[in-house]
Amino acid sequence: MPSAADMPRPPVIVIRDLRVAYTSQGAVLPIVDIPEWALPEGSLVVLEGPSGSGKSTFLNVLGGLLPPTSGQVTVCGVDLGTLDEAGRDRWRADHVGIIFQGLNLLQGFTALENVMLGMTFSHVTGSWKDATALLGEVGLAQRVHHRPSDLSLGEQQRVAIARALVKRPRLILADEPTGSLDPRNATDISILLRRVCADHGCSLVMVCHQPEIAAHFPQRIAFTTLNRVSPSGVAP
Amino acid sequence: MNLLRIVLTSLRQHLFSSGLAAMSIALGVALLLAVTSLREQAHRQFTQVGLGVDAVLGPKGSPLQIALNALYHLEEMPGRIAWTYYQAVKANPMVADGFAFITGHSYAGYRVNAVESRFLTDFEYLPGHRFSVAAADGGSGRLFSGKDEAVAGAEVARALGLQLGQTFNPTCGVTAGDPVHVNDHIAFVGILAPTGTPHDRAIYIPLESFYTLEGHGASVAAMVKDLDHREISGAYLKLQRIRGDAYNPGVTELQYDINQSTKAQLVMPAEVMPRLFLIIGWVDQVLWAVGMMVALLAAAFLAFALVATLRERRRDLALLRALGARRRTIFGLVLAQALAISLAGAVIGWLLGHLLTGIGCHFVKAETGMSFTTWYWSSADFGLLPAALVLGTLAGLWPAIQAYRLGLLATLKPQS
Repeated sequence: MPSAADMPRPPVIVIRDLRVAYTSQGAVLPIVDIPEWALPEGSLVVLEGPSGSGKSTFLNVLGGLLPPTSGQVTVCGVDLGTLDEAGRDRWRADHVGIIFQGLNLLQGFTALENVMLGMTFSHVTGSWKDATALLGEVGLAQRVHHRPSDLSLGEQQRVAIARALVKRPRLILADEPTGSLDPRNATDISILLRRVCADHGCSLVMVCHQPEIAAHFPQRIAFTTLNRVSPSGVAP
Repeated sequence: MNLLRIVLTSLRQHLFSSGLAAMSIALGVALLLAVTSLREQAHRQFTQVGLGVDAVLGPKGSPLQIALNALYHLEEMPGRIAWTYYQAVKANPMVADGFAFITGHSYAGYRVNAVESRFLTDFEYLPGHRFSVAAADGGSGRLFSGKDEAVAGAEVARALGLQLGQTFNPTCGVTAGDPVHVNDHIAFVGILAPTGTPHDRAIYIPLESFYTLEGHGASVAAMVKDLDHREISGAYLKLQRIRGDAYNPGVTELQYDINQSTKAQLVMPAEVMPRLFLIIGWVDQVLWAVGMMVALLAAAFLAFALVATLRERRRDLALLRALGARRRTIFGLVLAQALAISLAGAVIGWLLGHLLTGIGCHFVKAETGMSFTTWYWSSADFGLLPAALVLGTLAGLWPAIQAYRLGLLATLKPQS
């Protein structure tokens, strides 16, 4: 009898015939065209690819920030096509943590308040104590009441990681979270991100340009193998 | 973290611009509140209180001038009336009581009025309130009993630092440069307790003293005994009333008869004083217009301040959207910020307005003797707060709509 670890995990992301295209001056510019893709729950993957290959657009679609032009996108068990914009906002608040490349934090708020903001719009309840513990987990126990302007870029990304985790999401989407960091900080953040996602049992999809960072991930996917649109914008 | 905390943190983050916007609203509210409060108190005091006088029997001339002179110690009396005529009117069944007076003298800028001695004992300047020199009431000394004695109103005594026993020489007139009765030394024997009326700004001497002041002609001096030829400036009259406050219908007939004669006229302050507000109403309107303009400019400033901070906050708001905040939540946050600034402005303005009213009260007291109150509840107290909130909401609408329309991805500018 197979053990629980050997059982096939349900997918956290299911893509079918996803197409994203922008219209500019009457011309349709295809950006993303992914016929099929599924990501099992608990996966920690890094998407690699050249600039302009549509990775961030893809990530925005997965986060419900951008509706697809066509196709079906099911994330955390919800078909995003069935949700209007407000519905996607609510869904995102409850299920997905997002980390951007930089300027992730609200400047007027302390590190702790920024973490608490991660729960403000969701149904998830958590205490200031939980948020403080998370900041300790990412190595900022002594910086809880510091404002972003008093934190280094690396520390700001740690706060962003804690904020993404605070609502206990099933999926974290990270768009080049190490892009603006020096190599050492970039390595530390990527390792931290991978570790806390594994510890908290949530899946991670991270876009990354830096091969040395991507090398730390067990699962690396070349985005060009998913997307049928080439970086030059040529559709199949 | 709740949304209120986000609003307050954002206000704290943009404290300078938020504070300026709140203060500009506060100035508008304060100005409008002070103007309204002083206007309503003045209107009430001038038209409703009546200072205990139902009618003034005075000479022919401007009724408004007579009312201002008799009741508020302003202007000058346009003539005199005969003592005998006053006695005849006082004997009319429609007249409950009367108190003769003579105006036209002054001391150190304050009017010196000659009154019947019973004016200080029997006259009620407010229902149930008579003059007092009792220390318990805030007065001192005694009422006058002799020719060369006077009592001073509380405001006169305070302003001039009068002491009992101090003497003065009355001026024969009410303007600077008028002759002084240098040989008449009148002593202050009493200081009246504060009344909160123009009486506080007057000095009272016995009626007979007026006639015997040196420098008045022999014919005037003779009036002290010759009642058939005695003249007075006028008289305060208490009229007969029925059913509480209503005048006896016979009063109208009495007023008609007096006004038809060539000897005097009966001036009803309640009828005359509202005319004053018609005359000076434009001042009130100008002040209101200024206040409204300040308030509108404050609202415009608030809108500009919010739009300016919105530019700085675009990424913050986009991040909130990325964290799951809906467009209407962002709209509400910006609107709540406008409301919070307006509320703060309205509360500060309310306090400032009452402070301004208090300063205004001081000047009104000094100029007219009337006691206005700093904490008078005018219509503005009830209307300005909701009005400020509505104005703040309107001012916040445009920036809130801009925030609502904010493009999330364009603002966050993801790069791949």
